[in-house]
Amino acid sequence: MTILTSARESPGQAALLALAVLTGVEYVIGGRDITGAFAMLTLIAVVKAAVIVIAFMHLANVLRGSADD
Amino acid sequence: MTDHATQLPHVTPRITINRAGLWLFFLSETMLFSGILATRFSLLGTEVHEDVSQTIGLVITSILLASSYTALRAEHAASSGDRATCAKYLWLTLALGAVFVAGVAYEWAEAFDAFPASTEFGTVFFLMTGVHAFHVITGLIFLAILLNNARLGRYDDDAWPVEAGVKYWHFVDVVWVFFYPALYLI
Amino acid sequence: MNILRGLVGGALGYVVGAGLMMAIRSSAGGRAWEVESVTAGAWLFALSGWLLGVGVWRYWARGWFGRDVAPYTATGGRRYLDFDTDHKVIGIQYLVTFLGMFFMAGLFAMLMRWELMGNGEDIVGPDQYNSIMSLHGTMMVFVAVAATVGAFGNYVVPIMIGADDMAFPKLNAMSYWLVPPVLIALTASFLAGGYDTGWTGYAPLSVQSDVGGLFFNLAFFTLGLSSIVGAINIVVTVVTMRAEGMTWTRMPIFVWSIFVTAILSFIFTQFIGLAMLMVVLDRTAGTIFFDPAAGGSPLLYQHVFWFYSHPAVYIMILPAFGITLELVSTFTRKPLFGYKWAVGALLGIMSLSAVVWAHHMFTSGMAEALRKPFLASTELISIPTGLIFLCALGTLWLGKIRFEVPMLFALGVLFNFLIGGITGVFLADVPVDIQLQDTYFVVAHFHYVILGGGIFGLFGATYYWFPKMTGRSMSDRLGKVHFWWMMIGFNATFLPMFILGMQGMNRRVADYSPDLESANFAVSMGGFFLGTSFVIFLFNFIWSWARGPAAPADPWGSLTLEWQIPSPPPHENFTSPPLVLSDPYGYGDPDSVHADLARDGAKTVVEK
Repeated sequence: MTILTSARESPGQAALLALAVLTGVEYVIGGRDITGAFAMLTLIAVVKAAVIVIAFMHLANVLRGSADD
Repeated sequence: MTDHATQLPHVTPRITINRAGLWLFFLSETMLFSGILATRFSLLGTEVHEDVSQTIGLVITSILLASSYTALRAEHAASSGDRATCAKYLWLTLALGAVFVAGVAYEWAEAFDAFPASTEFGTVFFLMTGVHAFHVITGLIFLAILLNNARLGRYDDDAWPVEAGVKYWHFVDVVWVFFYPALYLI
Repeated sequence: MNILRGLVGGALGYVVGAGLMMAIRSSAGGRAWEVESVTAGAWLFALSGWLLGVGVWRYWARGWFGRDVAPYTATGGRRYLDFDTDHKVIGIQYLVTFLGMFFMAGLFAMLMRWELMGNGEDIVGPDQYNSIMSLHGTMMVFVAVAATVGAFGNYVVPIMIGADDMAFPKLNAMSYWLVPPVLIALTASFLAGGYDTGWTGYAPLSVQSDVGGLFFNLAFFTLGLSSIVGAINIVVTVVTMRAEGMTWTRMPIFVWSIFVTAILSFIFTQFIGLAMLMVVLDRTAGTIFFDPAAGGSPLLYQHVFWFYSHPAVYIMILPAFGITLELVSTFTRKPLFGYKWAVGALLGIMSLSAVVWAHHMFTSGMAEALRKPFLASTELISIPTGLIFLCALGTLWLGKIRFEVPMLFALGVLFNFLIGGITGVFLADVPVDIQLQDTYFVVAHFHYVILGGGIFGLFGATYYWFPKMTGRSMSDRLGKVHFWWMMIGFNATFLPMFILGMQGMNRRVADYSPDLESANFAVSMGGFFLGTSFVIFLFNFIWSWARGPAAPADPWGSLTLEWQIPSPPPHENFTSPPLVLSDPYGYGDPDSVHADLARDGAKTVVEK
């Protein structure tokens, strides 16, 4: 059985860096009383989740693999 | 065992079937955690308790994110048949995960005094961290089994179990990405 | 043997978990033993111990530790008591287990009707009555949720799509073996005196109820686990295991209905788990989710609960729709009318079912602004439901109908669900609902939907697939007697309940105002008549399984794949992978071939 894991070409380091930066930004926003913090934090969380799902979990693999007909 | 799911040739490769199942499981679990988040906003609005420790929050979040990266390296090593590297990174992931659990435990010990379960925030805090920590601990058990088998070379031919365990670990991390701001920052 | 191992494993798990909980409790400075919190915490360990003992360890988990898994040796009847991974064995396990639960819950219903037969408190007091009512409701809901999907979703769907098994056979076995702990929890609840909350378990009453209520929470939670695992398995099976040529538009409509049901199930069942978890935490860990005095919200429970439980109504009814359409086409000898519309209707019901839940809460004090949108979305759902009916009627139209027993039940579904569905439109209307909330009108409505629709569908499916599953035919004559007896008994019981409800008879009460006595007496008589009809079924079912004449491969002249192989099917279902050539509804067209089951050189692997 062929192993289709594409971790080989994974942009792991870049993704980790992006996560670290975004977490830092989150922390700074959370520590201050600024308007629109809720929307910003939500947006950042969505972006972070997308980074993990795409870069770490290789969502593309499963979507490609089970496409049929 | 009389699994005959392998007797007839399949149109779809096994790895695709496995991945489909795993992702549907994640989708299902996403509904659970969405429900928990909805409960949190329904009971508390956008309030956060001032007694949560911002330092601990930032530290354990960073540790969990870092452990996702080491888990990825382990999966990478397993898929290229490199037992030693795979085991090394699984070790690292386990250690980081254990530190995360310890951090949560410390937070709990503080929370019993600052905002016990009989308060609004405490109720939500214990539900969110508790259900998440349950998933982290099951993830740690999976990782420990994977580590043992990886060292003995049991995944040299088929690295799917490593991929599955690591993906589960990433998923738990994704959950925390949403729980961290909801518990500490908003 | 493995059941014994499972029980020992479960007991050991309970002891370990209880020890852990007691250690935590005493280290926190509390009393070590307290039945509720210790049991709630130990349940997870007991569940794991049971699963490991019942077969997960021997046949599966040993492999995770580098050991050889035990060889599977059970044969014949013993397979049905073992951790067997054959989807056909699991389907029969589900069918027998849930039929048993159905009859048990039916006996509770008989008790309720006995109590309500006359005015005053006759045989049980109000508390006992509510316990019986709650157990009846809970068990029947479990049957309606799991019986058809578990039995026929497992047995028939893989064969219908030309697969040799489900995608994850071991997980499939595990999802069945999660059911016995549900039975144990329900029994424990009964022995502990039951609970008086009904199957909905509304907080805060459910937080305050006796220990029986805790076992209800654990039972529901565990059934939820089983449903999620089973549903994921079905979805993956249908997506990835279809035979060559079995395109989405060639799938039998029954497969579509189970597929859509499984999607609903694995998405929404998480919410019942969450609702049960929060109640258990409120009961045992001192949280205040549903305690308004401390800042919690009882309405939150209803939202979370119905966010699962309304889609669950479609989990109960969609398989019956699928069976009905399948049977109507087969026994009318005509292609299914509007196949694509029927599929679209199933998908439409699936999507809409997520946005109607609050129609259960019109009188519970939620924001008034929410009433109109939920009224509208609820009435909207009658459009796809109507489409299903039109497809059935279009198929029947001008057909030469064969009134075989399964077909009678399919027609019964159409008749009964029509009444259930139309009264549902009444109840979706806010002003009417405010009048009728918590009356027997509601009781009659949902029994018409779930018993008249879902359970009639289950019996239709049982009569239809019994020859395939057992290799023996059921008695046609007894089947017809059962149908008419059940149909008349059902309508005699529940039609008068609409009137009782409009006259103000409340549900969940052991006593009522004297002027309702004659109507209640009539309903009870109808109920007993309905109850006795199942004796005929049971006799027919057991006797035919043991002594019935051998069944041919295709007694009904159906074209779907399961009828093209012997009855009962061989272990691997097909000797060579089927090649599907067209849809399975080519009735009346002699040139139509659904699938080629004996193609030469069939061993080629087609990998995408």
